[in-house]
Amino acid sequence: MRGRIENWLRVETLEVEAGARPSVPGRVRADLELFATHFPRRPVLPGVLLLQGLIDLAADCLLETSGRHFQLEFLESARFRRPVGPDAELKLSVRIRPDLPGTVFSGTAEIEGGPAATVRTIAMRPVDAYPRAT
Amino acid sequence: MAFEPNSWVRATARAVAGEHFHIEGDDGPEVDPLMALEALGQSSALLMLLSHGLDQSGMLVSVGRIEVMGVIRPGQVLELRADVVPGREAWITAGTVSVHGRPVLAATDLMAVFVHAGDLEERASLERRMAHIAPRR
Repeated sequence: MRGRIENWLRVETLEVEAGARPSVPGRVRADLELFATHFPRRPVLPGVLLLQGLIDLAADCLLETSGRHFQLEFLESARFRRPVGPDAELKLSVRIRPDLPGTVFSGTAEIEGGPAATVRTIAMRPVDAYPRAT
Repeated sequence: MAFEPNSWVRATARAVAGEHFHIEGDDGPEVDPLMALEALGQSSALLMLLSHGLDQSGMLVSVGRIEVMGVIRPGQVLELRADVVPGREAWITAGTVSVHGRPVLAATDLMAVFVHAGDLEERASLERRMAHIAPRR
């Protein structure tokens, strides 16, 4: 999943230590085609990509610790506080929430100057728990 | 695409995995459900553009809740239903995304602030895009 983050973020390192807060620092690629349409006069990284980055980071942590693939079940209370433009230094980090049952994280996307996005609840579930309709 | 200004929009969009929304699932390629969220947000923004003579667009500032309810396959048609409550400076959207009538994503309390559309995109470009998306507005 981390490979998808690298579609739009030049990742420097993946910092995962036992008991620590996993994070991915990097720089937003300035050559993304999506900046031509989002938006032509004010290029901004779509908020859903910040959410996706945090969800993928949570999925990576779960894969490393459990050996199972997880996807998003639900997400609550996301706030987009600063726009993220081309070439921005960005750090994605997630933290497990021991106060809640299941596999639940909170997440933060930080740029210079402060948080760009925060998510209070990222609830994950195993991929094989999804309905598999065609 | 059908809509009632400042109230609701019903639209369809084809799910495309692309480089940002591709998932390699256990039984074949899937589309990230966040693509459905993006489509829902864009349909809501289109409604606001159409409701304000293409003068007002918006930027997402918060998400109350999204729930993933099913898998989306590349090429499937997303049925988008968004209901909005506009305010002075922002609007709130609640909606669902379905495939063949089966809900795949539900979202509540998507808040976007109004932004002058001309600050984001040239008027001529916007009009061309709208002529393609909503030719009988």
